[in-house]
Amino acid sequence: MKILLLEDDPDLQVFLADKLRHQGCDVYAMATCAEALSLVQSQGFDIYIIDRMLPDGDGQDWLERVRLEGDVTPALFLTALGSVVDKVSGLRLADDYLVKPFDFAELWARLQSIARRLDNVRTNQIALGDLSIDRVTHEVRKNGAVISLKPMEYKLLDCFLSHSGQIVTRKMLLEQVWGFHFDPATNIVETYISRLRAKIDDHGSASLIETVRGEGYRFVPRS
Amino acid sequence: MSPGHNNGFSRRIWVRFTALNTVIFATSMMLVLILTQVIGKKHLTDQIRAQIQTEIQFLQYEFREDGLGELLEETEERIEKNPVGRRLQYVVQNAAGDVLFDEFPAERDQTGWQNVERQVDGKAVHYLFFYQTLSDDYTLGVGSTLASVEQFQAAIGKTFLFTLLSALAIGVASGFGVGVWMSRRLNKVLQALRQVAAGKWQTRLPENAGGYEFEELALELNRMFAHLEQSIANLKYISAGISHDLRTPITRLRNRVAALQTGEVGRAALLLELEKAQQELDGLLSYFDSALLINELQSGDLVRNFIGLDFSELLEKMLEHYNPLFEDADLRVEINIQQGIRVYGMPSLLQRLIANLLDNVLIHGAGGSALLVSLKMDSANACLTVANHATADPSVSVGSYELPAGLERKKMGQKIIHAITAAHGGKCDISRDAQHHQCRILLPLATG
Repeated sequence: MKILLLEDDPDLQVFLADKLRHQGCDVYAMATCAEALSLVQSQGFDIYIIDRMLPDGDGQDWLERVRLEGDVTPALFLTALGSVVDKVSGLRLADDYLVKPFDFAELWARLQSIARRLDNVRTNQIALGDLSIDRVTHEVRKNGAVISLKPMEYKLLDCFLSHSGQIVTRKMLLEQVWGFHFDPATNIVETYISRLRAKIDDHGSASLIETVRGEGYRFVPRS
Repeated sequence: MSPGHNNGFSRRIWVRFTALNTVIFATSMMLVLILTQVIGKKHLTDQIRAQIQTEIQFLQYEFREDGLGELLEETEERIEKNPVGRRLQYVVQNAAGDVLFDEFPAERDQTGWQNVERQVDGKAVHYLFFYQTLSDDYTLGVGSTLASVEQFQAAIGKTFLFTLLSALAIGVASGFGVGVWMSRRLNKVLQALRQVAAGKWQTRLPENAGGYEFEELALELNRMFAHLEQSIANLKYISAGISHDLRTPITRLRNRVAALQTGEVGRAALLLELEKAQQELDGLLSYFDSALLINELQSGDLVRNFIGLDFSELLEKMLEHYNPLFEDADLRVEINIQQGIRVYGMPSLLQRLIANLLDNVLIHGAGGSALLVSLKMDSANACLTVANHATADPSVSVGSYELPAGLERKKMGQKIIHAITAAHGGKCDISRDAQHHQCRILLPLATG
């Protein structure tokens, strides 16, 4: 994945570039809108990661200008501007909006979601280990036997299977499964995960949905 | 600002009003008088011309029918009939220019309308004459003094002078009066604005100051002052909340880091401490997010993102999401939702509002108690009620409507509920007694 990283904070820029390169990405890190503009005019990228408050302007204005020139490259805003108004206006241009501070795992999962949408690889049937789901009929099977899931439990499982092997944060689950852009004070995520585990896990064996302390959850398929 | 500035302000106001009123009065009067002068003069002159022409036509007829002798005789008779009130002058002259009648000389060679000036008893008298050529090159002239027109003009001139002086006097008096009246009220507004600018946010204008416009201005300004006062109070509350509430978790965080620096800890304990530190940081971020949201809601910035939405459907979906939590908490849920209630708002904010209310019941409601959620509609509002009723068992206490707080002491959750409700133009009412705790939210219905 070829990524343009537009971030002016040198420490964060180095941290992100290293992490993304470690994941196998080709990263071009820029600190100003002007540098980034000349770069995107000379070569193409798969994804833009854009900070908002940059030394020579707003990253949102930069993206708007790039969009006006016909560039439809997927973009993700990575910014400290976290108000509802900022998010709403940012999402009019970009594909995703992540507010600092953030977990790298969450950023990576979001980038992969964008990449998947880009590749249009969403399939109707997913089979991971002994678990399979049919996205058309919403049928879930384990070792061939149908498991009855409630709609939200199905959505939760689908989300985990879509990010199989990756850490999925509580925030991502709240957004993608329940459509909540806030963190409720109660343990809605934990309750649903607990119910889902009870339906898909085998008694006595480790859960397919691992809890990653301090970070979130990870679906680990087993055959 | 010194009182001298206020006096200067007042003086400027009434001086301007006086000058303005005087100019307006004087100009209006001048226009009226000029128009009267022009129209009156034209009207009087036209009357004289009509009279002269009638006379000319009659005498011309006499001359044509009976000759010069009859013309002269008839003219003589007409003068004799009205010697005192004689207004018309007659003159007849032959082709050689000799005057055959009256003392009035033929002073013009041309025919048609002529203005003629003549000295009478040492005074210049103005006449309007019409000369008509008869057959055999006789010329008949009939004229009239313009005394009536001149008298009219003189009268108008005197009236103008008197009216102008009166207008100036009235203008000065009324301008002064209006100026003083205005300046008194504007001074009150000015003083209130200065007090607000000086930080006295509770300042208000008297709302019965008299005068519709000033009454309206005072109401609007007071509304603005109240909003400012409320915003500043909220800002202070949040600032104070942040500065006080952050001390405890930051202290805990600092102590954890200090303990890790000085103590001998194993890897497992280190990870546990780091996880707790992360939770503290997440709590702080959540607190800041809530403070930011309240700020956004109170600023009114979010209103432009509002849309018409089905509130009944949104509430049903939220209750469906929360159902497993109610089951786990052993809460009996009674739902009474009127379908198709639409409000104007932002779905994510209303989701948060409902989530906060339900979270509150889950956190504070006692197991086995009943949760009633109802949504009804009256003529103007959607009425959402979330009530937690105690069970018959008095030992089971109901929860408190101290809504979930971001940090320990401040009721951030409750403030968010109030802020979201207010941002949607609604009202929030929380009531409680020993057995029943209830939150009732009124949101205006979406129109159109």
